[in-house]
Order: sequence, then C-alpha cells, then structure tokens
Amino acid sequence: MRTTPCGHDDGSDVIVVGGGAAGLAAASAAASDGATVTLVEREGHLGGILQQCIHNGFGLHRFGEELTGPEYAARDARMVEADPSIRVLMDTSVLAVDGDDDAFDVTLVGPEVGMAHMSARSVVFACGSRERGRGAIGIAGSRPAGVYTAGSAQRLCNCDGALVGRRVVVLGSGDIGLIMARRMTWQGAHVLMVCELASEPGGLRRNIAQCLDDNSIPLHLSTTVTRVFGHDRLEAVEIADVDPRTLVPVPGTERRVECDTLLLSVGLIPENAVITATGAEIDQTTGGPAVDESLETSVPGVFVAGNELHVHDLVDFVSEEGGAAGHAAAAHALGDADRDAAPTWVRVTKGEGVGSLTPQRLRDPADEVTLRLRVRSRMTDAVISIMSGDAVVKRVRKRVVVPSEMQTVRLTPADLAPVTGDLVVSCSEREGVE
Amino acid sequence: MVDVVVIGAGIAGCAVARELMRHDLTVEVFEAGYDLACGASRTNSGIVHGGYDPEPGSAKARYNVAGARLIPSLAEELGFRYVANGSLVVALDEDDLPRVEELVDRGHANGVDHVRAISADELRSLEPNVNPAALGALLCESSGICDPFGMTVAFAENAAANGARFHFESPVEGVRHADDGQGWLVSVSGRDVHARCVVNAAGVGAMAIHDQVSADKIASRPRAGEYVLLSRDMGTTFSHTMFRVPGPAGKGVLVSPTVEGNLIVGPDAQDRTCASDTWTTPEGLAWVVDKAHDLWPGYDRRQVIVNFCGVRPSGDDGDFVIGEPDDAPGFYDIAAFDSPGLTSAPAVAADIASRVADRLGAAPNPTFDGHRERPLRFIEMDEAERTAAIAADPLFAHIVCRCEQVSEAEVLAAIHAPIPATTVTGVKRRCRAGTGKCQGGFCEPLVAEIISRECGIPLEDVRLEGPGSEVAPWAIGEVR
Repeated sequence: MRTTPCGHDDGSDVIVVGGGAAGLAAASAAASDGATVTLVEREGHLGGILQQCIHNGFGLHRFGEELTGPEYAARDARMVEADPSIRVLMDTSVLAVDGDDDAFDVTLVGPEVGMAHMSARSVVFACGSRERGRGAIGIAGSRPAGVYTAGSAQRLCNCDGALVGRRVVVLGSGDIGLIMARRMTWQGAHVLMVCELASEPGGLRRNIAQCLDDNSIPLHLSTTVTRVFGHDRLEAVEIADVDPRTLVPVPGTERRVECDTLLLSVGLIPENAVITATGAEIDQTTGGPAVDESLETSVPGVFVAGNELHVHDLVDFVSEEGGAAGHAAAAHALGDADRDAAPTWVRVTKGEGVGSLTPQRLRDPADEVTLRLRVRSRMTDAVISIMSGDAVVKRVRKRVVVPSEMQTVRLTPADLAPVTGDLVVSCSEREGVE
Repeated sequence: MVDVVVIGAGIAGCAVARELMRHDLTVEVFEAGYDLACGASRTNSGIVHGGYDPEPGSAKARYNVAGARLIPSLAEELGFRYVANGSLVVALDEDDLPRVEELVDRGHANGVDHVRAISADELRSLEPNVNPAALGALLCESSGICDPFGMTVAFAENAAANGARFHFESPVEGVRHADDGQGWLVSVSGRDVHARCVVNAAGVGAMAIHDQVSADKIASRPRAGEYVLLSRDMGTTFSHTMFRVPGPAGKGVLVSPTVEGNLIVGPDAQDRTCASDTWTTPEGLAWVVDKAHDLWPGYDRRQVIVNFCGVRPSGDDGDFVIGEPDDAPGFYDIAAFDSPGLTSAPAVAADIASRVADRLGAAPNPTFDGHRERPLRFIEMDEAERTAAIAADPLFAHIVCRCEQVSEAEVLAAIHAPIPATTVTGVKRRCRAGTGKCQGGFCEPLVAEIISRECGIPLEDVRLEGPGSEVAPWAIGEVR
C-alpha cells in the first residue's frame, strides 16, 4: 500500500484523475514509459461514460472495427488492470491538487484510502464533461418529472433497465440526444421530434442518418423549447421557431406539443472544477484549460486530455489524446532532456472561421503538433490554413466541414520549419484562396 | 381524541408543532404534500428580514422583529444554517433617498436593532460590485439569511423527536365543530380526526380552511414569485442581501448570497389563479433579470443553474391573519402568511403554542428536549473531521454528488431521517445532492438507485416528488 490515510506517502510518478477513455489511455501510456501510475476513478467501474453507450460505432479509427462502448472500454481497462505499475483506486474522488512542477499533493477520498494525500510528479486530468441542463438554458415553466439530460436518461435506460418515457421530445441534436432518440424508439417509445436551436445539426452526420433518418424521426432546425407544462409528470412542451441570426424565439410561433418526456442534449461542458483550482488558465471558448502541444496546462506538470480539454465527438481521438498526455506526463515525471530546454513560446490563435482550437500555444515549434479545432459554420470545399505571418505553414482541403465534427491537422517538424512567430489557424471556403 | 391537529407541514406548521411539544399535549400534523415544506416554505428567498419594511403596528411588524431575534439562537439549538450577513436597501435615484430615510424611521418605529442610512461611499466599500450609480442605502445589520427548507426540517424533526406525529399526502378535506360541541372534527383521508384544538397553517390553502369555520372571511390571492439561482462560483459577489428601494408591488427584486454559497435573484410578484401554479414564465424571468441588472450591472447569465417559482398567500389587507377568529374558539389561524412569514414563523409559533396550551390547561412537557443535532456534511468538514467521520461510517468516503461533494452517508442519513426522505427531491433538499452545476445530471440516477435499495422498492416506483412523478416509470420491455 502506497498511501496512508491522511498521511503522506512516497506517491506515484503520475496520478491520472478519471478512468474514462482519456484516463485509461494516459495511464497505460505513462506506465509504458516506465512511470509508476495511480489511476483514480470516482465511479465503481472503469470506462466512464462508455459503459452506458451500448450502441456501436466506437473504435473505427483506432481498431478498424465497430465496437460498443463497453467493448471499447474493456480493451483499455484490461490493459490497465493487467499492468503492475498502475494502481487503480475505484469509487475514489480527487478533491484537490496542490503544489506544482514535480511535487504535487493530491487530496483523495475513497473507500480504499479513506481521506488521504498522495504525492505525484505529474498529474493528468481526464475528468470528462458534464451535460448542460435545463436551468443553464433557461427553459421556463413548471418542474415536473420527465425532464432529463440525455445522458441521465441513457444511464437509467442502459444501466438500470428503466425506460424514462413514452412520448418523447428531444431538444438539441448533440450526439447523445440522437443516440437516445433511436434507443427509445427501439424500446417502443414514440420520439415525436428532435428540435435544434441552431440552423444546422449539432451531432455527427452519421448519427443524423442512422438515428433520425433511419427511424423516421423529424429534425426541426431553428426550433427550441420555451416552456414545460405539467405538475407531477411532464404533460407538454411549448416549442417556438428561433431567429437563425439572433437565436431568440420568434413571438407568435409558439405551439404546444403533448409529451411525457423531454430529453436535453444541449451541449457538454468540460468538468474542470478541480483543475481550475490548481490555477490552470482556462480557455473561454473550449471551456477547458489552455495547453501546449504536449497537453501541459499553464501549471507545469499538470496535463489534460479528452473532454475535459475540449469536447470531442469521437472516442478514438480521446484515447489518442489521453495517450499523448500520458507520455508527456511520464516524461515530465521521469526527467526528459528535451523538456529541460528553455521553451520558445509560439501562440496558436483562431483566425477566420475557427470557433475553438487546441493547443493554444507551442512550447517548441520543432515538435510534432496535433491541432484539433471546430469550425464556426458549415463550409463545403473548405481549406484549413495555418499561417505564420505571411508564411503558409500548412493548408488542408476538406470537402465538407461542420461545427459538430472536430477537425484534426497534424504538423510535422518540416511543416513548422518556416514558423517565425505566432500561428493563426483559419478555415474558409475555397474560392479566392488559391 | 387528539389535543391538537396542525394542518400543514410548512415552516409555520412545523414551528408550531415543535413549540406545542414543550407542553404535555398530543399533536398530529397533516400535510397535503409528499414532504415537509412543499409550498412557499421551500420556494422563497431564504431571507431573515430585519423588520424595517412592515407597517408599524401590524402583525407583520411585531412578529418579524421578534422572529428575527429568535432565529440566531434557534439555528444553534436546532442545527439549521443561518448567516447574519446584513441587508442593504439601495437608492438608485434621487427619489429613492427620502424613501431610505422613511425606511430607517420605520425600522426604528418597529424596534429594529442596528438600522441606519449609509452614504454611497460606505455602500461601495461594503459592496464593490453594486451599481456604481447607487446614491446611498439603508444598512440593517440584524438581518440575515437561512436555509428555509432546512429550518422547516429542523423544527419538524425536533417536533417528531418530542412526540409529534406527521402524516404526508394527507390533505384536509374539511374542518367542522364536533357534534357534541367539544372541539373540532378534521376530515382527512376519508376519516374524521377529533381534535380539541386546530392550528391552521395550510399556507396558500389556509384561507379556504378558515372560511369553513368562520363567517369572517379572509380575502387573499395566490401570488407568484419567480427566481433564478446562480452557481456557487458567484456566491461572493455580494456579502449582504441587496434590495432596491421598494415600490408598491413589494420589496422588489433582491440579489443575495444564500447560506449554501449560491447567489439568488428574484422575485417578481404575479397574481395566479391557483396555489399549484408554480411555473416560471419567460416574461417573468426576463423581468427579474432586468431588475437584477439595476443592482448588479455585472449579472452573468452563464452562471444560472436553475429557475423556480414560489406561490405565497397574499392577504388583501397586506397583513398576516394570526389567532382565533371570534366565532371559532379553539381554531387558530396562521393565514395570509406571505413575506416575512419565514422570519416571523418562530415568534408566531411560540405565541400560538402558548395560547393553545393556555386554552387546554396543558402542563409543561417534562421530557421536552429542544436540541437537534445538525446533520454532518462532508463539504463542511476539515480533514480531521472527515477522517473521523469515515472511521465512524465508511460511506462518508464515497462521494455521490460530485458538484456539492455529498457523500453516500449523507444520502442515507436523509433517507433514514426521523422524517424520512423517500424521494429524489426530498433527498436533494436535505443533503444537497443534485443542487450543483450539473443539477443532478450525474447523481440523480445514483440517488434513485440508492432510494430503491434502501427503501426496498423497485426503481420504477422511485419518485422525484409527489405521486405520479416517478423518475423512471417503466422497465425496459414494458412499453407498448
């Protein structure tokens, strides 16, 4: 036992906070580099939200096959559980991370360790995200049963064997909402419609096709829910058209839809309460910490990956990012000559057409860099340009880009050779670019 | 025959029940709702008003000032949350300044301690985030904030510990004189309960019950107040409860920290047709937010975590109706009990209980114990306390609600409390699981699972609130 209740121990090289896809990959990667790792998971199982995602479609990029969420999680969980240099603490919460650089003091509470402190040289945060709820989007009305975030309904459905409703309206075309629209249809519920505030869908195109089109569920764009009715159980919702420009409901377009269930799939927010308390700088557009190309935050030795960094749409890339953070955390913990060199900071900023972007800065512009970004609006025949002053670092053509699909651009040291100053990443339709 | 039937388990009914237990009396409390504080007692601002606002000489003035003096020591004795944060009534234009002076004078007339006018400079040094255009304010250092639901639970649990019996989902259908002229028959759940005295503390339902026994009818209407609650990140924006100088519609919109560290904004005042019309409206919420901007130009809508509405019984003459109607001896009203009802409740309860005891010639209860232990909360403990709590109960080491750091031990304490919480909202109100930024997105299914396990009921039967509000009403495969 490496931890003593309420005492200090000799600790781990790396502590990974969160045992979902990003955390599992980070723990394995750090251990494979020779670091001792403690993985802290607040629930009673590894895999995080993957465990309630019983549909398939996971792993196409990483494994070349379609897995269910639990199958995907099991592959990583087995590796972690079999690795003697990784200790897993279940049902355990990280309350605080104090200290910096290579002397972190992590405060934990859990059934195995009680109230405890562990020391670490590096910390990887992989806490995932939370769902935006009804209050955050300001829907008025009564407060009956029958209003759920899509993820809560998914847990009740897939982990508890409960069906939360029979006549369902879904607000928000995020992926979880689309998946739940199909799931509930398959269980015999009548999903009346999916309403989307924006003028384009929020989820992956393949989910629109497979979840809505294949099940004849109508998608109403530029439409929102303005009110809920019902005393004990939801009886109806009021929906209204919204002005596509201002996103404000248009007076006079309100209509009542009788239903017993409203599912909300209106966005995910990086779960960053503990990392914020470390002093890590937060990027207001991603909602997660600002990082460099090694996924290190503004607090040296604190790394972040997955949905806590930037909400992803494909778990394959979450795992990839977790692995990168794990390797970097191990390098920091074990001492890496490359990291001892003084950084040459280069800022990476959003240009035209780009809504959010990581990393926000480069420590060493000679490193390999993976840029992940979301565009502001749908574009066809688009070009993602990375510029340094007047110099073109890289241009990538894309047939279609949409805000719901994260774009990945890899930069090699050769690409980065002409970098003289800050990088600007932009995206526009092709006319006039060349 | 029961000595006293109390109708309603809101703040008034629970406080009366607890004060009655000081005497050698049998007390039964009948509540229409599924839990304690189902009505206005849980959906209000949670302010312990200083007492400078009510008309001098009114019942509101008398009970408010007396109640505000009782609450700090009751909070200690009964283990509920109270913070003496003080309040400010802000003047935003020249017309408001004389009103501040009037309110100070009214406070003095009502016997309020520690109330005075302060300058714009002093206001800004106390509250740097207030509208920079503010010209001055009334400062009342004897007002505070409390947890209104927790205060009701504290009174109720202490009443129950001293022998009062509580019945939920038991609406009182009628009250009439007993056939032999001795006391009252209270119709509830299809039977008549014979009581020597009745205390009518039925909140928005109190006027209808009063009108059954007295020819002197109470004119009142249900009046709704809408609120928005902001996350605990915002709780330090103001340390005082911030009011605008009041207009004719009431005290106006306030912006205040809560005892839990959130920031509350509201209410408006809209007449509703029915006590159960507890819905918010887009217009009402927009109005509340607009008024909040007057006090706090930095209002941040991204920090809103929930909106809600409370309906309070508003008497047409503006005052409480307290005590025995002339034509109904032994029947005691706590009616038209709108703001400042929460603050006034302890004083009203003490008064009514002693009148009832006098009428019944009750002896003191020699075994009465007025102390209630405050439930332990992981989030409030220091490390040594956490270690000790976990040693005593390992479930303190399992965090169920991540946002508010609520442990499984606290959820179980709520479920197995003297007045058990058997619903998701009942658990949430008592231990705060689900009151944070994710609003139960993660822990609501967990809490439902724990209630199912602890109460030995199928998950499909676990309710959010009252009957018909099942969280997950159908099992997979049952729907067709």
